[in-house]
Amino acid sequence: MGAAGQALRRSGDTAGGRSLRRRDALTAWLFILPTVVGFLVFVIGPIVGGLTLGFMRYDLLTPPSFIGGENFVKMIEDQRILQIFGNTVYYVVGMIALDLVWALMLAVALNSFIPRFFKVFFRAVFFFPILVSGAVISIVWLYLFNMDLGIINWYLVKLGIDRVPWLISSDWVRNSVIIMTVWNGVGFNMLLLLAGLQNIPAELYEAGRIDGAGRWASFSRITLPMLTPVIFFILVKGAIGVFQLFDSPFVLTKGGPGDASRTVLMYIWEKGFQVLDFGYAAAIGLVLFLAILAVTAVQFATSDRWVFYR
Amino acid sequence: MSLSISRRSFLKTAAAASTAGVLAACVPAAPSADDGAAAESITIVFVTTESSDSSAVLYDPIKTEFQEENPEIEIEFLGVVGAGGWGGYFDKLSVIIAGGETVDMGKIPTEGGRLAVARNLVRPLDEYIQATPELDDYFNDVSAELASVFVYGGKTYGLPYDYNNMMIWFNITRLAEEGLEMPPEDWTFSDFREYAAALTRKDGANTTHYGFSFWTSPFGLCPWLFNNGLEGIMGGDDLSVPLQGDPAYAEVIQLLYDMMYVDETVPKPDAQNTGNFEAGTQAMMMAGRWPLSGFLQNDFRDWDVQYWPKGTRRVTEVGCGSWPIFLASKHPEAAWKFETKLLQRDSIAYFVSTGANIPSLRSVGYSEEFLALHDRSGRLWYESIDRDDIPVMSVTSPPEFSEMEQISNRYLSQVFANELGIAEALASTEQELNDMVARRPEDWAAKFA
Repeated sequence: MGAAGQALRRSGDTAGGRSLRRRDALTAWLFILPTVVGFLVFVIGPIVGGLTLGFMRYDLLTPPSFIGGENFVKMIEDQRILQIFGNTVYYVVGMIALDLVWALMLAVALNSFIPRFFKVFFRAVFFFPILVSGAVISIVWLYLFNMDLGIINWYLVKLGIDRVPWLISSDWVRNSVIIMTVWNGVGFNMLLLLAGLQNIPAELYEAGRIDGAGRWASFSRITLPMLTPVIFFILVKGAIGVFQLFDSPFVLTKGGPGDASRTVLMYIWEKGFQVLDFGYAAAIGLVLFLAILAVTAVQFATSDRWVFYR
Repeated sequence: MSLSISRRSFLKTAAAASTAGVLAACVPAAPSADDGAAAESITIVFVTTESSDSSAVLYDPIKTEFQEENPEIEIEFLGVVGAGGWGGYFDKLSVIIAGGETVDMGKIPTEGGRLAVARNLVRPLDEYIQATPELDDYFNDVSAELASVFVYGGKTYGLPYDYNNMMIWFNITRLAEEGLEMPPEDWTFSDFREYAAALTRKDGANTTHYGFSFWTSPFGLCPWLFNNGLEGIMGGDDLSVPLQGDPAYAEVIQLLYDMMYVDETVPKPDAQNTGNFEAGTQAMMMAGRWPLSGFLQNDFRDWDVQYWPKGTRRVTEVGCGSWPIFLASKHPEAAWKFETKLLQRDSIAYFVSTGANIPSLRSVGYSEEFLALHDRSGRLWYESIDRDDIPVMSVTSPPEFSEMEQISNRYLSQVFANELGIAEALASTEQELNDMVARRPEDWAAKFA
């Protein structure tokens, strides 16, 4: 083949290659198109809609009107909102802390000295509440927590302990919501931590033993550091989830007494669907979104100081 | 006895303020105009409080009969089910309508009537009523008090098919155990308090049997307020005046508080459930007729009912159900046809057999099939709205019902948690309700004048 022919073939190869790449790219785009469309419609769309609505007056039944930052000014003047955001932060800290400690204790127990049959049995028992709807569980706990007719207080009185005002005292009610919600969800984190524990190589513990590490030292120097990726995941996922807590306090306490157990999401629902002030509800939603974003960013920013990836 | 009214006189009195011109503007066409042309198939979307599937089963006999008579009209059910009582139902319904879903007619209770009118969701029915002589039977049979529940600003937006009042239920086994008889119908708040005390039993520090329990949502709070001389939670023609400043209001809250914390005859908040009443751990409860179907299923028959105790007067509270036609309906005439079918005596009697609320028609309320469901005092249900000496009042239902309920409950929950004084709670409630009223659009007042 002469030089002209070779040049022609190179040229054809290049054009064919480009065409192939273009076809590949098109195929790839077609494959991800449903996800992209879904993301735009169901994620970006509502975010933009919520952001826009935060600057509107909108009662759902008449057209929205632009009011600038009025909703945000109203938020600053709102005497209830500080307590409600405070409750939510209390839930985030309380639930994540209790959930993590409880799940870790269960996972460590199930990973160590318990016979295999009981391991399977207890794993199922602790996981089971996750399969039941939060609203249904809340109704059951409503009866358990009842101050005068609830079974918990009945036994406390039998033991000579005063009744606890689980749901009707501002001091107790948030803790009651935390106890019930953590009981409901602890099984999932227990499973994650159990999986994490089972992935820790046995030779690390052997090396520890050779170096004279006791049980506590093994736990604190080997187990906990090796679990930090799972713990990090639980913290990030937990914070995002608890910031959006709604169903358990809604059924258990309706946010009361007063606003003592009300969450930000319950308040958004109240302002949106009860007062039909969707602009204000969207403005609160925007602030909640920024709070979640900030907390998650801080968690990621600090993670390289305490999360150990093998 | 409360007299029945004819369709003609109902329209004359209830719609006196309404002019034909205004009606013509609101109702798009004369009812009969569309009837002859309705040869093509029409689908009516009917909103119910049961799930769509349950509604299809529940309404099936009436729907089947209706479609035999009107083969061109198809009925589709849209169930709006969820927590939150009537307030929650109405919140969801508003969202559905605002979301652009086409709905033609649906269940609207007293609690949502003013909201529906204020927000232009429903259409006046007066022209349809006038053009439907078949409704004479309905108007001759329904209590005049009920027929006027959905009349706002002189226009009729709904015709009640059922209602609930509030009664005091007694577990008669507990009465017998304590050697008590049923109280007389003219018993008072003091008698009531004594009954609650006599029916409470303790075992050391634990109370094993409570006399009573209460709830404070508007339907539960209003009978106390009505019977103590008040108009309700809010008063005035357009329900724009909060009444918490009235000493009679504080008296009611004080009575309930004292029963909980002084007499200890009532368990702490949110303890009422029919299970405790059935089990006898709670001797009296406050409710309409709604627990009956559950009691019949459980074959629990040891109960009786009595009128609400008297404070400064005797009043019966009611809340009605109706099927208004939505303004957005594209087939209001077809919807009205179905409504007319639903308001026939046979249809209303059919709902009695399903264990529903109290029928709006007198002849059904006193019928053998209705009374047969009750071992005792079955006549009281209809009689309570049918007497000249006991006025009937509707549960306080401003257009902002959900918000009013939320404000009232938020402060009362603190009172009954023993964390806030009654005076302070009522002053704060009044303040927030005034703020709520101040936000009303200007055109609302005219709709209820």
